[in-house]
Amino acid sequence: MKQFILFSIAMVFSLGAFSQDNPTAIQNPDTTLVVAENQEAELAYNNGIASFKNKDYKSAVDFFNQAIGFRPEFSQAYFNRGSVKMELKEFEAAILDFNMAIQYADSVPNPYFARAQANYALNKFDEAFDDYTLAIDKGFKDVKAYYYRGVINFQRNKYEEAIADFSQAISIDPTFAYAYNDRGSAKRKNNDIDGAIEDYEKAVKVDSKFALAYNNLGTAKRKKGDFDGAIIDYGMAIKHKPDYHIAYNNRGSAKYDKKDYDGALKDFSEALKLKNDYVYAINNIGTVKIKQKEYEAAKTEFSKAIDIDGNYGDAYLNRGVAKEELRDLEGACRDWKKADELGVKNASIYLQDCNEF
Amino acid sequence: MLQFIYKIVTNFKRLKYMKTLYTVFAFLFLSNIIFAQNVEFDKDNFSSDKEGFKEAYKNLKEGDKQYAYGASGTYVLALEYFLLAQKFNPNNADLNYKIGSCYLYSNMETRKCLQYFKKALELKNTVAPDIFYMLGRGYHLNYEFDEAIKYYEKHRNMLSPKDLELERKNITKKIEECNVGKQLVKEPVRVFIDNVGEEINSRYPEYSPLISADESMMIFTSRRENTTGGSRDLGDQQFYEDIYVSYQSENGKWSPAVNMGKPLNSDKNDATVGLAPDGQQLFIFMEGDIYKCELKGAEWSSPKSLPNSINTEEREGDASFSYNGKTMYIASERTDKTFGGFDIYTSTQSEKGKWQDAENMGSVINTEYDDRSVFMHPDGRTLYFSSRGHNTMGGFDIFYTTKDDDGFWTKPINLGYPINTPDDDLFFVLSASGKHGYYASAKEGGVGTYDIYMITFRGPEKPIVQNNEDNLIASIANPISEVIIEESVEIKTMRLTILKGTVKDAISLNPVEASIEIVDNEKNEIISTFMSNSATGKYLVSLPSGKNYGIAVKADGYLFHSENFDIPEATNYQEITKDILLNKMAVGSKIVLKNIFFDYAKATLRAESNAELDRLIAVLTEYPNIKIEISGHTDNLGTLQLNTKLSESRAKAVVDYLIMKGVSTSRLQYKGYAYLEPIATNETEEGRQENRRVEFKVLSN
Repeated sequence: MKQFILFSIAMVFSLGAFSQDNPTAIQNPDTTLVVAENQEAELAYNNGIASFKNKDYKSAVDFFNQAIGFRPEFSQAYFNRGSVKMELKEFEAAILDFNMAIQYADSVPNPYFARAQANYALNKFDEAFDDYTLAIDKGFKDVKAYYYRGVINFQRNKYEEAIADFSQAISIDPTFAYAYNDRGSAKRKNNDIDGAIEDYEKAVKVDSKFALAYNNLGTAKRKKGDFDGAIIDYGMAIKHKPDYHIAYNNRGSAKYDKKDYDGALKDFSEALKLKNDYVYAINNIGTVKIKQKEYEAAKTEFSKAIDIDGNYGDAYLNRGVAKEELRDLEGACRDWKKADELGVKNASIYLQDCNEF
Repeated sequence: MLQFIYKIVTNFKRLKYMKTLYTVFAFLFLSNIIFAQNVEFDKDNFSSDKEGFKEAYKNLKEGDKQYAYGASGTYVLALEYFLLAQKFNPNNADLNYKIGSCYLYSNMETRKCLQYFKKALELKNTVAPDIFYMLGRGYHLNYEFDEAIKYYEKHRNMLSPKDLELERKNITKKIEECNVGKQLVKEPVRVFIDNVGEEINSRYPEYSPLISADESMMIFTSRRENTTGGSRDLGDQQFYEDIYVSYQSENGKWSPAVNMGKPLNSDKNDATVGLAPDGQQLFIFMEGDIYKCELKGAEWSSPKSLPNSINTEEREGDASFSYNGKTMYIASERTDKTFGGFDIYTSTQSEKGKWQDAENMGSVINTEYDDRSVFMHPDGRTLYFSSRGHNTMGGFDIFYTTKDDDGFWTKPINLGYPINTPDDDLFFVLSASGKHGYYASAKEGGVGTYDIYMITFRGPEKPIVQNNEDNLIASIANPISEVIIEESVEIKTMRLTILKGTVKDAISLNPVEASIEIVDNEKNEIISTFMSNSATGKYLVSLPSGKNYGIAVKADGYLFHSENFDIPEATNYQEITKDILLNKMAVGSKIVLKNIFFDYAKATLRAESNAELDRLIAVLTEYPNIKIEISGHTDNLGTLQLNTKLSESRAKAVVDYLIMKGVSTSRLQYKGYAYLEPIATNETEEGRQENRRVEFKVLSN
């Protein structure tokens, strides 16, 4: 109530002060609008939204708190407060707010979706999955509920289900490039490389600057042995995202596959320039050096990678190979043993040459 | 034994067609530009250094003597003289050609031949009719297979039909060897090859290593200076073969090789050919046959020739045994049941321990070329041997064949580069662990001619792992920026109404600066208090529509003025003008108390009246001497009597309230006028409402 009065008085004073000497100066009829009574909650709520939009999250929370104070069953206010907390990455707190929003309006889909997002952020995939499903059931209109549920299915290695969800998303919004890309990835995981290529191509058709999908397209082609095609696609990825170190690294590997070792080195080095602790690129430089029979140089590269990541199993495995070439079988065996401990496939096979060590 | 190795000395050097070819060459190369000048060993060419020439010429002639002998050993000796002469005169085509030939035939640093053949041709393109062939050999040995093929073909194209007939097969084979070499070099096998070191190898030939199962001992053949008797073989002019032994310590070092002495070694050739699996029997080559020595304690027994079922009139060499010792594999040059050259034979032991007649192992293994240095793997089904046939890349290469389930030997497979080279590679044995092989090779990097090498088999290639990553899920790599927030709710609003007007003196109509108080009558709350302008008397206030307001205007020296008015609900902007006239505080002045409310047809004051009544009290407090009359008025509905009574009791209710609030009774009078003093018409509801009122009149000041 006090809020209202203060507000009204403020209105009155400001108008009075403005035009007391010249009453006819009032031109804008809108300035004569005032808030009706008993809307303190709504007012605070709207102010909260305004603050939120201005990224003034602290004020936003304060306003939503006020709104909830005035109207404890104010579902949207809980929802919005939860949304602010999402922005603040306070996911647990956000979930509590979404719970309240659902408690007071359980047929509204948004809070389910938002809670799904919060659960997802907390790696609570089961809860997130259920919430996306609820959001869909409650009529959530956006494609993203299907999309994100597809992502969870993907992460659970349920690729068929993921493909179904991504397809639903695509049927709702045929311009949703992410869904094409991710469906392509699910197909790729399902060893349907042709299907993956088809989807990645759709993704870049829908969004011709979709660097990530170009990169994936390149990798799918590389898997098919189409190294030239892969190199072109990685190039497109790099064109649209010049700092895309992953694409550089991948293009390097495609060139490596083509035995273009100098070209590969160039790309790996570029990836490394973009991300100077990118151990994959360092490791891959080492593999080129092995192919070029520069075993000492290879060993140095693998050691660099290991210095950055002491648990980089593949680098140990590779360094072992370099050491073996350098006739340091004892050192090689130490590296393979470490690689084996780190769970690297094949390391145990390599170790068969190491009986005496 | 030794003859096997040095047979590769070609016969081409002495070809009879040489002279005819010279003329052809002369014609063909006449127009060629000669880049360097051939300098003959003629004293006129070295008149400034007669002594030097004399010495060089002497060396040349000594070299020629050895060279003319045409044995591998004498090529080594000739080379020593030739190199001295070459130092004096490096630009003699013939000498360069001869030095190249010495290198090629001595099995010592054979690859060096190429540079001398090249120079010989450069100095004199007619240097030798077979110079292209020799260049082909040189390139072949140096792994320059394409160049080698080119020169072999060049040579072939120069041949007369007759010579072509003689040589075609050999040249075709050499070209084929080059093609095999190209293929093998392209896909090297995964081995490390190490020279076993100078404790074992010398600048003389070492070969035919035999290894104890645990690799702790190596028995091998060497033709070094300190062989028993110290004399040279009459055939190849190299030192006689002797058998040596070396032991490997735990750190992998071999002890300096020791001549095994008598009875194994004699003044003639004594060479290793085989070691029984248990290491208790050593088989050696003596005088063209295989002999057996048995280890008695620490001593080897005198060699005993194997029976006639194994040894023949022709040479036998090499012996390997099945793991149980019951089957023997040998190489023999016997002339019956042979495919040509050395062939590999096998013999089994009867129940009584007698070796059966050796049988040729068949055409899958044996070729028309030499097939020998046989070694049976302990698995009983993998046979290693060396051959100049099959798909060798040059000289002897090592092959293996396996016995299939039906007992047939499979097509031999070349052990591959870098084990095999374009030169001779033979006498392969395998350690019991299968990890190491030992063999003799003329490959480069040795300390002498043939050296013993150890092969370390590295097994299948160990793939290296590349690492790549992709952003499979777009939203994980590039999260979709998602702000979901419920929208603003609609706030119910009211339209403000502008209330404005002037406050003036009722008589003079001069502007009055007055305090204006706006009361929300329903809530009995002051909403706003403000002043009218002193110069113009104007005031303006914005008020929410749809409410009933009281307005009280006060100014010093004036009676207050009150108004009651409704601002109707309005969707549009509206202005209400209310001009107010204030009466001075003077006897007879009266004001209508418009904000005093009673219940319908009763004299009960309603709470909304309090603000107005309090204002009235304030006036009485401010002017403590005035006396007033409160009068009640009605409309003309109803009887006069009833209205008089109602108006009087309403006036009294006000007075009672004032008294209750502490105003002295003596200052107050009240009277009911009913409808006798109307201020508006009673014909309309608005007029009647105007008339229903309480008034305040100053009686005395």
